[in-house]
Amino acid sequence: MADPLMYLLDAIAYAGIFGILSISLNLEYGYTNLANFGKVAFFMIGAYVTAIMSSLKYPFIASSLLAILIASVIGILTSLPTLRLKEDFLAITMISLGEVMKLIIKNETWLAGGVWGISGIPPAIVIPGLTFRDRLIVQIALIYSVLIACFLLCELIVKSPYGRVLKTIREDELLASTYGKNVFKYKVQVFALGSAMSGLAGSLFAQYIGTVSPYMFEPTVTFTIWMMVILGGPANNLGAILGAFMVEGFQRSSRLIKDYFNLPLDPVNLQVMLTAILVIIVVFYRPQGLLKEKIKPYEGKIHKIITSKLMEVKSWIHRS
Amino acid sequence: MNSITWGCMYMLATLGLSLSYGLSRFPNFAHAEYITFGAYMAFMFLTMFGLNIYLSIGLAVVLSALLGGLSFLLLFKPLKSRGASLIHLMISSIGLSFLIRHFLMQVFGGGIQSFKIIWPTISIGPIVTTPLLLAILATALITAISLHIMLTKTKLGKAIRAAADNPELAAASGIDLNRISLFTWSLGAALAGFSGIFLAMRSSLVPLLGWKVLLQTFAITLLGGIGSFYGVLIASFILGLSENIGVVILTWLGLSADYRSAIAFIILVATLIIKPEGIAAVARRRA
Amino acid sequence: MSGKSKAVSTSIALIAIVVVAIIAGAVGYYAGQAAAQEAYRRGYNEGRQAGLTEGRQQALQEVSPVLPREIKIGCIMSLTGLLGPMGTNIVKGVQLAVDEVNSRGGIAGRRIVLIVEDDGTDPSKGLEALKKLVEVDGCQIVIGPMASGVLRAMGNYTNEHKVVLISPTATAPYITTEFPDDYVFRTVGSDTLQGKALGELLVKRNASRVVILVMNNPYGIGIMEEAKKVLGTRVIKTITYDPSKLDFTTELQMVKDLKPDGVLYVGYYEDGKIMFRQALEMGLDNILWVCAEGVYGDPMFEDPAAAEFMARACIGTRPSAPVGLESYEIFKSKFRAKFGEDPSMYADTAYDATMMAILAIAKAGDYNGTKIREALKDISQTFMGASGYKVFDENGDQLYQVYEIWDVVKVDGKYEFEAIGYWP
Repeated sequence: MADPLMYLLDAIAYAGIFGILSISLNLEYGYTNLANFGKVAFFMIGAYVTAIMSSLKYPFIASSLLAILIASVIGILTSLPTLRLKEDFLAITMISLGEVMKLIIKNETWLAGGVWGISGIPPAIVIPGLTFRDRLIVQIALIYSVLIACFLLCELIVKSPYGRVLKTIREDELLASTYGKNVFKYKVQVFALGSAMSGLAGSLFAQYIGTVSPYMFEPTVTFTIWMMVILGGPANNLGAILGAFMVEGFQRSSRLIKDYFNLPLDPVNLQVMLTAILVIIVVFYRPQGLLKEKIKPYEGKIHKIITSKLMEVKSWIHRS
Repeated sequence: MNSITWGCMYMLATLGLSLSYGLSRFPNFAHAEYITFGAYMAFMFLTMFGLNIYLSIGLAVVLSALLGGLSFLLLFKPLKSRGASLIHLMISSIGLSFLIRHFLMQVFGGGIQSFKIIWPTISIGPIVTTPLLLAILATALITAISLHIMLTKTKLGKAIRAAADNPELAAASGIDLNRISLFTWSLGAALAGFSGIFLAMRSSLVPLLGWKVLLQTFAITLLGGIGSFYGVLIASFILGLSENIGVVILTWLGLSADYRSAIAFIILVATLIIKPEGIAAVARRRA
Repeated sequence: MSGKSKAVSTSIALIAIVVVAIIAGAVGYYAGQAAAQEAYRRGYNEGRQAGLTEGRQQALQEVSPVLPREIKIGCIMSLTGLLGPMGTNIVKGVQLAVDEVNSRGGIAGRRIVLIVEDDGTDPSKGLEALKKLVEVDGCQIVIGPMASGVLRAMGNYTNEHKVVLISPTATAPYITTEFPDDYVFRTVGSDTLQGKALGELLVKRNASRVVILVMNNPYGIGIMEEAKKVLGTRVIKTITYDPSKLDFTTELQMVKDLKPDGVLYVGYYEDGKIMFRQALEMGLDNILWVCAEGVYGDPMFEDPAAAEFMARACIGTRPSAPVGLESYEIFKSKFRAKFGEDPSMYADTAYDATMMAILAIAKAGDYNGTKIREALKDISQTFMGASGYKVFDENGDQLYQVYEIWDVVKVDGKYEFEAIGYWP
């Protein structure tokens, strides 16, 4: 029976997963100016690790943790030789890296199902006897808890002294290094964290869809995530999430709209072209994106609040 | 023989990218779409307007030049003057590439088109070839020679070289960067369009035509040294050769030939790690 | 304290934004609801053609009025992406069936509405499209998708939600084993059979040194694996290639150096044309090339060199009807009349899939997935479509799949496909 709410919930779930990806890219690009154009590669790694682990009958906790670990390790490995490069070289390298990783997965059937992909990945939380809608809601709860956790984590980072170093690196690397900061080390750390988050998102994605296949991880995915960050506003975590909602919503609605209005163009082409135009316009007129970066008066407030709360909890524990 | 042909096609495709990259200091991802655009334009003139093939190619090349020049004028130059960051320029070029590609898909449909031209085989000694391959060779040769002459003998050419080498100094010497850039972008796009036509004739015309060779063009640009004309020349053939040899090695090793794209990638990464300035720097040092 | 209120206002802002986004999405949908009925009515009024046999026409009229006012059939095709070029033609087979039935009054006077979605040859997009069709449009039966990989992502959902899925083109062997006795059907034979057929063909022709040259995708590799079982030690080399490459001279040179007496080839039109043209240039036409149906079709003849090569060196198999192709000829002429072009590979299986779907809905008398599924199984027992006898086995696969052995001949300067035998 028709149940459009399910479709809406599905869209929300997708937006949530992509929100995690956007936040991770935001951390890398928005705050540290790292041009990671290979994001889909880490997304894919996370998804595939989970898929392989599931086929070996490991529970989701184990597979997602392993996914995070492997994604960040590969992130570190690939960043070591490349992060010293200028942004444009980095971008080109990362894209190619993503493609090569996909090639490996596609061709090495013994490793990861090759062109067939892997299917039958069970959802992370299985509560028997639930309706479809309830299961979706459980999924959304899971995805969004992760999303909120990542959001808080990133907010903590950027509002802290560590975050200030990142922003300095973004603005002027030379300046940061004169302060005695090992710029390279910071970049690698951020990249590792971003990759770990992407891996986690991939993990969630795999258990949500239930299948993985190399055809699901084209470079277009990376560009979509970039658009989310740019539109929503780089250097603003809320903006990244907003961007994810916007782009995903846009893609979904174009599928729906074409049923109601006779579009002059093929819906896919129309949607892509509009998104591209939108991105160009944003880059042109409002490079800060929709939500600007929050600076100065707000600096450190959430950080202070959270740490003060933690202090309270700590002293409460000590007292009792 | 095959490597040579591919080297020529790569060369035509990449010259524009390398030069524009050198001048404007950012990689134009939309360059791949100039390739696709040229091919579709030629197709359009040939089959839909029924024009003579030479005229079709000519018009397509001119239109490609127009596209390149316009994208510079309307998009990249204004962005640069607003102080857009490198990443912003790249992102907008990606946006532009999607725009062009899907526009072409909208107009021509997403399916495969073919030029439907019969190329009789010609045998020259032990080499079996067709007029198409000879045309590719000839075009590449003529392009290489005329560009060489232009770059070394004419004032415009020297200005381009100066600007590619050191834009600030060139501007200070009174060279009009904008004019040079416009010319280079248009020329580069024209060559790209040309290569697109050849590519499509060699295989078939699909919207992803340019995207398929994007990685290779970047590898060549970096290997040869950004902005270096001679670098591109040499690197194109190196890549063409290595891809073919690489496939043989891959299959011999029992791996799939699908890894072909990985070859370009390996060259790219190796270049960046060992010598990011590319071959041009090596040559210059020797001079 | 200003700090605290700032925190509160942020959280409120955060929640507000999320809520706004959700509301925006919901409003967007419901706003269009009113226009929906209008648009559907405006939509699919096309073609007036003869063509339904009287028997089928009867079946469509004997239906209880439990059916909704408009009967929706969903369709998921690859209109963009890797299989895009093929999808644009195949979807017309589906449209032809729907329009034909509508022109005869639909199912008991109710119009059939076809909703087509693109999956971009991407499994996650395909799943999303299916969700949209089932959840937003309320479809209980969907024709498609094309790629086996996409079908795989949709299988569990289909079975859970009890909607019927009929794919006209997914040929991967694993679909049989992964989704047994369920809501997934296909009107084309699994490649388990075609791989065997190709292999046995080579054996029959006394090929003892065989090179396997296949595309690196489920189609190519699926056939390769099955064929290898038949060919055994005759296979001296297996080469998998990337079909989106534009040049295969290196692979062909390797084939040449191996000096085989037979080549087993799996490709599509785009790469096939290039492959054959270059093979001709390299003088590989003195070997027997046994090909799968991916290269069966008139588009191959657009390249004269490829056509010539095929005439000299290729034979192949393709899934086909066991006896005379009259139903196919009827289908072909209708297709041509409506669209002005010839049906491509699989347009006929798509047409059959749709026809069977329509008949199953009529027989079920109720727009309900489970009932439709049962009806579908019954219908298939006596269904002879444009691509042959389409009875399903217990796994929803084709019980019989006969493969026609074809050859390419040059008649009066024109190239044609010719049937030279059948398998088994």
